[in-house]
Amino acid sequence: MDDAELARALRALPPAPEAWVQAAVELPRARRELDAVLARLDADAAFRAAATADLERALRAAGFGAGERQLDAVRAHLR
Amino acid sequence: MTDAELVAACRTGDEDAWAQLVRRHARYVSAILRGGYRLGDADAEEVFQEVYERAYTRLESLRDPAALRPWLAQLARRAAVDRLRRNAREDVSDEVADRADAAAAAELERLELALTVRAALAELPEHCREIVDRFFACDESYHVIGAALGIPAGTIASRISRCLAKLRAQLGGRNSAAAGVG
Amino acid sequence: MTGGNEACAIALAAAADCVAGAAARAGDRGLAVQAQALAQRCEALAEAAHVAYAGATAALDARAERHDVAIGAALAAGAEAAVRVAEAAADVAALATASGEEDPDANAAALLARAAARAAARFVAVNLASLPGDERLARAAAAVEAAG
Repeated sequence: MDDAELARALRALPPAPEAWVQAAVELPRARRELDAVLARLDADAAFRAAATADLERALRAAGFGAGERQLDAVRAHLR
Repeated sequence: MTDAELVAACRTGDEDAWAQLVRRHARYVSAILRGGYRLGDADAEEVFQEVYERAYTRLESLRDPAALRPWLAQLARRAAVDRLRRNAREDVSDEVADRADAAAAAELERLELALTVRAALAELPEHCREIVDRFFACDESYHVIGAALGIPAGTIASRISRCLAKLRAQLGGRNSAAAGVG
Repeated sequence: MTGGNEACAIALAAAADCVAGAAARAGDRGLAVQAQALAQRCEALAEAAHVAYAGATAALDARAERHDVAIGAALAAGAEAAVRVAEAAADVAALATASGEEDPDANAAALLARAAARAAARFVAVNLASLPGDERLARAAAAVEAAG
């Protein structure tokens, strides 16, 4: 391996941004939260109505801190 | 833990194992998306999450747990191509995807070499691993490294040189071992 | 169009490559690998500087509603690109000196790097004219001093 190749190899794997890594690490917890929201939407008509009217407010009021990806999943479930 | 052991632990619902799995391969997945497929930051961030979501939901389907890394690479490639197709105009999306795959292939080969070098680096003392990683992978200047590690900036280059000599010896040892096999 | 900061980064990449050659001739592969890494780093910085310059030009030309915000963001990106070039320049100068400035290639690289550090620091100052306390100004000044 010449000098340029070694330099390139050492530079090729920079750290992934910590925010990305942390979000991926928290996937199991985020999934559990999402499953809880979806179950409640199916079981609780009032909650479903509130979520249909204003999803983010309804989730906040219920104590769910959903990110954009989870919001998309909930919107898809509501359709 | 080996990758196979990590996968087995994740399959039992062990969230610490999942965290370790994510962290162990994060640089590699990120490099495929940014270095290989040249996704911009916003796309790369979303696709990075998609890759790990797919990995999490499909982990049971991984037939050979020891092949976790190439499996993640495959997920990353597919997710990157899906994103590029989505971003391209419909009439050229196949062309865009094919070009991206071809361009990424060379980079992915270089990443294999990078992983070999990184594995050799992992065998060196911690002070070498840190200083080499900061300069090369993190693109930190001698001044920044010196300030972070509390050592004079003027000594950083020679310290790195000594660590690189150890790294070459480690890589040379790996080559000899490989040559002796089979 | 090539902005001045991008030109500095391009020149630095070439200077770093010179240093790599000088270090290799002197038998110092450790320095040669670091110089190669700096050349690669400066190539990437040149790309980033190009994008920042294009963004700044577009923001200044635009008549968009959030004009000031766009310009502020563009100037911040420009300052960030410039301070990184200044810091890379200090590193190239350090390696050129370590490789032995009696080698004419290393000497040329050192002179280019010192000039690039000063030029890049000026771009930091220009981009941060409305933010006199920004820490990047101090970083740029430190890079100029370290470059020699």
